[in-house]
Amino acid sequence: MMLKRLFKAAALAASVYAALAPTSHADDYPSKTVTVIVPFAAGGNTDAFGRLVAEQLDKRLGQRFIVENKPGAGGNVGLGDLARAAPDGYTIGMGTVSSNAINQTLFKSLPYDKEKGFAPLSLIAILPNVLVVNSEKLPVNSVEELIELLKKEPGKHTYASSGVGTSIHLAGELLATKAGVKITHVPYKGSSQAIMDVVAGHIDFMFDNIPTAAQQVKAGKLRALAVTSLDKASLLPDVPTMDSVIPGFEATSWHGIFAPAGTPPEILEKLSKEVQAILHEPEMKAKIEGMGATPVGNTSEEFASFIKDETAKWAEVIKAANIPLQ
Amino acid sequence: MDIFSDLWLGATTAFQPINLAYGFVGCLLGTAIGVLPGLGPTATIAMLLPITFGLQPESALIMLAGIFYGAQYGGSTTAILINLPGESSSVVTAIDGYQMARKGRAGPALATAALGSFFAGTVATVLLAVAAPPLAAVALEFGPAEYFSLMILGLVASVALASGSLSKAFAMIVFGLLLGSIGTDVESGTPRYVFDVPQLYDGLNFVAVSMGIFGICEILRNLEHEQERSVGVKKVTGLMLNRDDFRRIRGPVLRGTALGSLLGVLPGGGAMLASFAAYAMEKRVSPNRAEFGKGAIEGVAAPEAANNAGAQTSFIPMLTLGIPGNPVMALMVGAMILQGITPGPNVISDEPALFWGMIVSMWSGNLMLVILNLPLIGLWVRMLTIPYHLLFPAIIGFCCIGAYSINNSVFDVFIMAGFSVIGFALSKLRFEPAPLLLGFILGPMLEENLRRAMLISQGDPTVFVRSPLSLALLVAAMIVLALVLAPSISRKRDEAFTE
Amino acid sequence: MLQIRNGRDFIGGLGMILVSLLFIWFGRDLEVGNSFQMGPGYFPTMLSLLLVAIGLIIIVQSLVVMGKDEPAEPANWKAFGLVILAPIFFGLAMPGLGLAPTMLAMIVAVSFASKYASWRRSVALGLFMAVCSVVLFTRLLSLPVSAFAPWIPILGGAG
Repeated sequence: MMLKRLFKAAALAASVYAALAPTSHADDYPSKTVTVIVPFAAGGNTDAFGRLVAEQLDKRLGQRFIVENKPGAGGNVGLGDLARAAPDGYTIGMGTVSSNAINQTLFKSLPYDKEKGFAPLSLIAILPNVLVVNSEKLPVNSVEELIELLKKEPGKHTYASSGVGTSIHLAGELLATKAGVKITHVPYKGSSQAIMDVVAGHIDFMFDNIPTAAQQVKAGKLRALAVTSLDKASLLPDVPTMDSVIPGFEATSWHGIFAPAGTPPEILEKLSKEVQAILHEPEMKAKIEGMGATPVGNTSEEFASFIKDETAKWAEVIKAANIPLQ
Repeated sequence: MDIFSDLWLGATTAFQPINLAYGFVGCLLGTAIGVLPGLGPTATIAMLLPITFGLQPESALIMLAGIFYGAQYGGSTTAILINLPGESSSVVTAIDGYQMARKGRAGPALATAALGSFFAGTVATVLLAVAAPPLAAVALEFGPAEYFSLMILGLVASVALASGSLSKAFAMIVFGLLLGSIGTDVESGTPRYVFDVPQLYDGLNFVAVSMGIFGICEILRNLEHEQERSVGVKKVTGLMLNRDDFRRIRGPVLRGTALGSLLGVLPGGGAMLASFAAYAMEKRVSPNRAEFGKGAIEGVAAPEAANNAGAQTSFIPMLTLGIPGNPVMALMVGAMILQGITPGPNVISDEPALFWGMIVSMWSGNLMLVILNLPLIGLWVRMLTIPYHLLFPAIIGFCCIGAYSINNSVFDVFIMAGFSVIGFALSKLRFEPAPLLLGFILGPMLEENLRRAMLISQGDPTVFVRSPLSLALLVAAMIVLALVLAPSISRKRDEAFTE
Repeated sequence: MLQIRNGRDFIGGLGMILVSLLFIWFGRDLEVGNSFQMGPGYFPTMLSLLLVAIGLIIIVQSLVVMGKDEPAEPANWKAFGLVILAPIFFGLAMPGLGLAPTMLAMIVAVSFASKYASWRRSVALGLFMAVCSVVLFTRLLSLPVSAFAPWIPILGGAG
């Protein structure tokens, strides 16, 4: 009896609540737990950025923001889930250069509507790649010398990547097209084994995400020739940019936060503002810089146009490099 | 001696009460998680990563490392008790361990696993302390060509996992290799056999396949015979090892430790090969050869020692080079980066307290595990006295959640169901599943390294014999193959003649 | 004369050949390449051909070598069906019902795969497992699953 009455009361409360809720979206958003989908495995960079931001959103908005890792198919599995989630602001997700600017071209079909896409909230951080060579195998000290050597011995030199279609692979392809050299791509599953083979001298050079590569450079195992961001990187301040040798050469791994397309604009606005504010806090900035990345925190509009440019740029590289579509 | 001051530094770090406590929590959690089917160390560490943000780097890493070897340990427990290997490395333990349990010797099997692991862990930790840099140099010698030859050796040796027909064992290996080719081709990025299912782009998940083909399939087999025989195990006889057991496991543990320590150093699959290789080797050298596959204690001791030694030495590439050798290590690197420490070749000199603290904590963690687990054996064995009709629904329940937790997706639950059917059909036809799983694990690595080596050498196949290391491994594979084939061919001929 | 002396192996060999033909058929669009320039289809195709060969060997052996006489095992189709369907039900129902109701229903149903099952014990075990799994997985390990999902009125979506 008691239980029945309790259920009735709860049902009544729920229906009243449901009737009231839609009238004022943004004011009382969020009123329950928000899921943050990370379309990559835990422990990686995207996961780290996602967790850092989710933790702060949690504090600022007074609701739990739970990170859910949904890895698979270069981020496509998690983004498919995000696209299918109700566009009510209670499911948001992370996206990266590969999942949101490269896969669009690389995959023949995606598990979501390519045209509809997602509502970008804000760009969280940009992680530069760094061009490292095995100094014993390749006696070069600068990008110019490398290009000269590669031109002299076309097709003889190898570069490693963390997989076909990753920003690391495409940075190599960008070098090949922009400098007009012929190099052999050797893909790996993930970058750690790739960098190991460069350190060991089985492979000549590679572009790698900066944090791990910088350590190898500092220990003298590898030589850093250039970073792929337009500005110099804080972890390797003496290393020039690719842009200074090959103008327009930019190939970074960026990580941003998205909502499903069709989420009410008030909620998008609110979330985007919060994320921007979070990324301008000095403590947060220091944390992200400590990971070798540049914190950004731009507006939805800026992020959207950034993605558009990136998508166009990588589509061109994929076409020029003749990478087979998946 | 430097090493003593280093170890002293490590001890002062590792034996701080707070770090001991976190180490203990890690071991406990790891064991608990390892016992739950499907939840491996990777999933657990990933889940607990956020908790470690607030801890000191040393405490965080000591706890995560504790989870890692605790889970290795718990995985063997389920492999022995209910034929459910939760980790790729405990597949081999399941072969003889489960048979021992059926004969009422689950206690000695678990004790062997505990003591063998402890011994191996201790030796490997000492090795890690005195010889990490030279061992890391060995790891760097292994390029794609050497890996390919090593995988060939591993596959040939894995025939020894089967006790029945040789041709059927080969068939299972090739079937496993084929299953391993499902997913995106690493070299070209072309999807293979994925039928536009995004979840298949990364291939079938090992844990889901193994739970289906071993765990659920075993339940099917048991239920089938429910009418005729009392399902489960015979009466438990003795929990601890007797003198004869000790005599029998001494050699296998020593050999397993040596093999595991060496193979564990190799990133990307070395530690996985270790337990298979140790089992295969014992089956050749043991005087109790005939008992293998029917509950030989050597078949538990050798792979467990190898597995644990390999688990310890797999830290070497990460700690000395800053390069993670397996997914668990990659997570540890992620944890370190979030702590503001980027692991690299300088970590020993930059963070001596962290490095030596972790090494000492590995040993203390192993000690905790053995202290924790020996008393638990009685409890585990009592679990087997639960009537089977109450036990099996619970196992299925945990398997389902375990499969779900791999990628937080129901897809892997369906894969598990599918493979239980395949496993059942194979067992009806008297095909053995262990070589299939080994082929499945090694297949992608075999293919990747073969094609990578050919890419680097620009299509020159002599690359596999030009490197002395690779050549030596290939020759060894050939010798093993000859050893495996010779007796069986003569036996086959005899059988044909006697008809 | 040729006769099947080991039926089990004969079927097993045929099965292996069937498996390899499936891999060849579904991989027919993959580029094979050659030994020096291997395409994505090279490795699976070679393996499939190898498996066909091994399958043939198994068949030949089944015609030559006598199989052990093992009594035919009666199939327990009820148990088989329930145990296979249980995870499939779990996978289908979990996103909608949530962990607790799915687990309860699945445990009760699957326990009838055993001939010793009784309603009272099954329900008790189901409830026990439902509570255990919710506490263990959603509370202690904080797996991203909810105890009650949207299809359950009132409770659903709350946690």
